[in-house]
Amino acid sequence: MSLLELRGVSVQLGKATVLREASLSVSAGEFVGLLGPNGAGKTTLLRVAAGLVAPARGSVRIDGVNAAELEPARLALTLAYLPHGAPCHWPMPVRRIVALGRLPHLPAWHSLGAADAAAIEGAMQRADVAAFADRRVDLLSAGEQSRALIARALAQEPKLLLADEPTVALDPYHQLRVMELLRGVADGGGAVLAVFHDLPLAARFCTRVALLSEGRILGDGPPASVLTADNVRSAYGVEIAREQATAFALPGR
Amino acid sequence: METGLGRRQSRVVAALPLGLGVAVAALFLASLSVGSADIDVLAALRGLFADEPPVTSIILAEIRLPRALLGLTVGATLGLAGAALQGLLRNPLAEPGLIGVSATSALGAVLVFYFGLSATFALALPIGGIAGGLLGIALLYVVAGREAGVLTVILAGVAVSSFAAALTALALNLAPSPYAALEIVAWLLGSLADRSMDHVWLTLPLMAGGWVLLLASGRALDALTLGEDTARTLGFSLKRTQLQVVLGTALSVGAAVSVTGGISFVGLVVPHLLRPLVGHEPRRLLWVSALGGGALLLAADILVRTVPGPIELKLGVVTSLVGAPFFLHLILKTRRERQ
Repeated sequence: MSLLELRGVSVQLGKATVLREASLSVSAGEFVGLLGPNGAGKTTLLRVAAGLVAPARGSVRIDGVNAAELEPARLALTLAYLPHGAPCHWPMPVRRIVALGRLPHLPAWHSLGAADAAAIEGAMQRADVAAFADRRVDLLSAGEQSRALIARALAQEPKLLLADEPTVALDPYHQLRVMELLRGVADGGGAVLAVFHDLPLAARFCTRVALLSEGRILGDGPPASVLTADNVRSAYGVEIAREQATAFALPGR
Repeated sequence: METGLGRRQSRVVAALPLGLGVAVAALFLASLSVGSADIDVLAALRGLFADEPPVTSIILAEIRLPRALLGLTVGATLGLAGAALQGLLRNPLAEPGLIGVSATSALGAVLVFYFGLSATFALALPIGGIAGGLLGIALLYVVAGREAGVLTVILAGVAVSSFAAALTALALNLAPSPYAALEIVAWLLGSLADRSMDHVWLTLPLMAGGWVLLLASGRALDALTLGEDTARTLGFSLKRTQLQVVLGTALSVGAAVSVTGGISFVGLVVPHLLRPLVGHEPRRLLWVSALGGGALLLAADILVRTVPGPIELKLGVVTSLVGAPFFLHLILKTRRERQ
């Protein structure tokens, strides 16, 4: 069964129609890359999937339940949402930021238990932030902060992980680490839907990609069948050139 | 709970509530033993259970005990509400007066003075204050609407505050006699002197209700550290948390102001001082700010009674005298950090 199912979703923000009749489903074991130019509606689609935006038309089902009827607490046990450039309002140590991911699992008036501690440690190992676990989050570099927030989402142990540009501030080594990590989440039976701008990177790691353009889904399938020269030209206005079997993006005519 | 901070800091976090608890207990006893009559507190406490309690026991039970209890509960209210509001707004400069309920509570009490009701029965004053506070909440929600964002609630709070202050000034302006005006001003300065156990019993249920609402918001305030969107996907709605914190503040601070008059800066300064000691975590800050607020107000109230002079200083004057320079220091420090 699909963990996320969007059917004919349209979203109106102010006067602009940001999504038009978009349909997309994500099942367990899938790592879906959400691609498209700036302003195509990627972030809005992710926010709809996270239950943060109610669509004007269409239906959203999260783990089989209509998103509009899903209790916030139940939603938090199903999915984790990693916004792009999320703020950390207080200068807390990284470990305590990661621990916030355990809040949905924590009954009111309770403190973290052994299972929570294990989840936090595991998440920090996987996101490679254990080395600076006790440092204040506001004193880290942007890339380190973004990995700390990835660890926060992993600590939530969601069935569905929604991530908005999770690799954007990272160095090449950590970009690859995070892509491997997200792929690993999917291979381990989870589901991942993430926004990317780096087409070759997404093509290499995602099990499927969806290409958005002007609020519509232009293509949805295996990377090779979606990222065709025609689709990429039509969505981004760029040509694809291949040199020594490596794909690059070049400016359009 | 070794999952948190560095080992040294987690020891501080663990020891802090205990240390503050001991400080509160010591200051409470000190508050009972300070006054014009020289009383042995322990002997007087034992005397309470005698068939014919000595006069020292009666002084202790009817004059000093309510004063110490109100110092503790009002201080705890201000510290707790300040910590919760700062967490909700994610801003270290927020304080309980921000939502306007302090001003409407004060106005309620002032009107009781103005219409001469304070002489009719002893509890008229706090009841007027509480009525003013409840009216303030209602007005806040009428102005801001139920679906209001944080900014709208604050703006509405400022508007409600200003209007209440204007009406308070009008009452002073139209005061029937200079003596009545003086009485109002003296009350507005804030004090714990000459309060009775009736004041405690009247306000304690409201304050306790507010405390429960504020303390229960802890997990949501933690989640808000990562912004509104992340908090929602962690299962906490900002609207609900906001309602909880605003209502909790209104109930507890409204009740507090209705017996003490204006006491400023405790709700601002206490959470700010304690925040680094709990690793900046909003939830952990709530409990310790309640204890810290109680300790600070008890200490300030002991100070006003022990400073020699012909007239007893007002408690609100002392907290402002200490608090305002601290606030300036805070702004300068924040400015330096931003640069």
